[in-house]
Amino acid sequence: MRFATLPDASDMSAFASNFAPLEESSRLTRPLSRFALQLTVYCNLKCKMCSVWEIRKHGVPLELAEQLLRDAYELGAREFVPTGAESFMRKDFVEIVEYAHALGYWHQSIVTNGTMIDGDDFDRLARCPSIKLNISIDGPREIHDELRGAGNYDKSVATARECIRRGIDVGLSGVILRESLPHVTALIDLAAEIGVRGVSYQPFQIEIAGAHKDIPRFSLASIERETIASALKNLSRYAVSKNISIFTEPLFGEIPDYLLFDKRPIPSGGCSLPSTMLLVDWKGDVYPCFFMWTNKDRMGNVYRDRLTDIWHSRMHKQMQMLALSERCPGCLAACSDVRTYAANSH
Amino acid sequence: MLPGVSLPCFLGMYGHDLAPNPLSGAGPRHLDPVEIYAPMLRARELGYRAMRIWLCEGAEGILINRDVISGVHPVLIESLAVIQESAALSGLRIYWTLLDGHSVRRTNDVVTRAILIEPEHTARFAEMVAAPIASRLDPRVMVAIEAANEPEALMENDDGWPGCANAIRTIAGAIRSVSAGALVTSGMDRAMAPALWKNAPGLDAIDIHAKGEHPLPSRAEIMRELALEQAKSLPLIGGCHGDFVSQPHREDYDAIFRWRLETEA
Repeated sequence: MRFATLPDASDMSAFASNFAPLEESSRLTRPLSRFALQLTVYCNLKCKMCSVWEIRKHGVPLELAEQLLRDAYELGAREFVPTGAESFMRKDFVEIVEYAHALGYWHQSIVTNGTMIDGDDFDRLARCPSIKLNISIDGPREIHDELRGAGNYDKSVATARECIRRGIDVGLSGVILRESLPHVTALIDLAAEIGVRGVSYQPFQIEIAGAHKDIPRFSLASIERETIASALKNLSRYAVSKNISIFTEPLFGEIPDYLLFDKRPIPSGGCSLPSTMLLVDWKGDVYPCFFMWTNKDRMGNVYRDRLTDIWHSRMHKQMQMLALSERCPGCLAACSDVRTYAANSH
Repeated sequence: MLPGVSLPCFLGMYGHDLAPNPLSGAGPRHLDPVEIYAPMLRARELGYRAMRIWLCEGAEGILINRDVISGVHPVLIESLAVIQESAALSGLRIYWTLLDGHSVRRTNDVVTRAILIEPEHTARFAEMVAAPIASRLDPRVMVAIEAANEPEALMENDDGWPGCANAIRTIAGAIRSVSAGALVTSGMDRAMAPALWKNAPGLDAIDIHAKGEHPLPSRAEIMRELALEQAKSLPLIGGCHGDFVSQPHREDYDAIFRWRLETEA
């Protein structure tokens, strides 16, 4: 043990930095980038692996949706994520995304089952190049229709083809389920066939399915880790061979442990999503992301609070700090902090 | 001058908020980071740039095995990580306090008493608690490490000061052995500080506490009272009630810590 002696006065300048004020981390003061609004939880389908459609409510009214879009835009948001169940169940849905486009949003990513879009909708969507439709396809026709109802595969694919024909940006989104794993490359084949350049895969989510669903049917928990890892590896190679990009590929390394052990990863260095996004659910409650979505995570309600105040609130900073210090619940979905995973993988 | 605020307990339990302690039968409190983030963010909103946090008050976080100190509780180590990460994010420096002299009377804390009075326990605390803690303190967010807050609280008479100074010197040495750049202090009431300093406690900075409405003394007054030439240049930390702006000699101080965030609402 080394005993202390009083330091010389000449050494004292070395301690000056102990008293220099620190700046608040710039990671806590980033502008809003992505604004997600759950416009409806109605859906025209009753998918077997989903329970969101069971709620059957619409979200905030048109006027408030427009106000929120304006507020979010002023906070810096340039990406709008209208979310549902099925967004096109709202009669004013296209009007809302047209409004967002007119405001200046650069990207609007719409997840849809693609079964409800008609000719007039296509015309209007085509006039908004900020819009990208992500059409859910769960596997080959027989699997897709078994989960979502007969005839829906063909409707969804027809919508994707029509989008391409009209120049509407479109992607295909697949969920990796127990029964779709052996056919996981089918989405790549479909994309290549109809001319879609990008797809995304995300693992089966118990949160979306609901605990009352037939979880063992969809879960890959009983499949060997190596089988899953191998399937994903082959999927990546296959996508390259077909010149199809997989948006969520940086997450693939995390998927086996997520599916088998429910290990919810957090990107090394923390997740920045709560620092850059806001989610308003159908009740008007505001959350930092899709997976910090419990009563404890609620930061306010847009029927009572201004979005701007919520964004600058202490509660929001607390949620950011949880995520940035790798203490959030973790997640693995297409909405995850894919960019950070991609950066870490390099 | 770095304006700071003291926050002895995050979760409201003296001696048992960041980790269990051997004197309490209660199990470890669940450490919810959000409960730490909130007061830190609030302090920052109020303009404070540093926070004084107590770690082992009331023997909290000290592991005891067969009546001797055997280590530091892992929950306390985890708490350090949460606090430091949130401090770095929110822009606060941390002034870490290890022991509190008041805990002896306040919670009948025989552990702190033994550490500050009995050399064998001092050495075990220094090596098995203070050093492991100090090794995990990030110098980038640290103001200083206080070996003991107001040790005068357990002094029954002046005969105890040499032993107390020796204990603090031992703890300070253990801290420096793992954290070379750490400033080690022991905050004291102005009236009692000379008794410690004349016994050469081996501290790197002076921490003077002003009680009640009394103002913090000037550096010249401290030099005179401590009869210590080095006081001219040693870093000077103050602890007081009320706003530091009202302190007439605030320019003499490198940091001033207001007592308790709770009074600021």
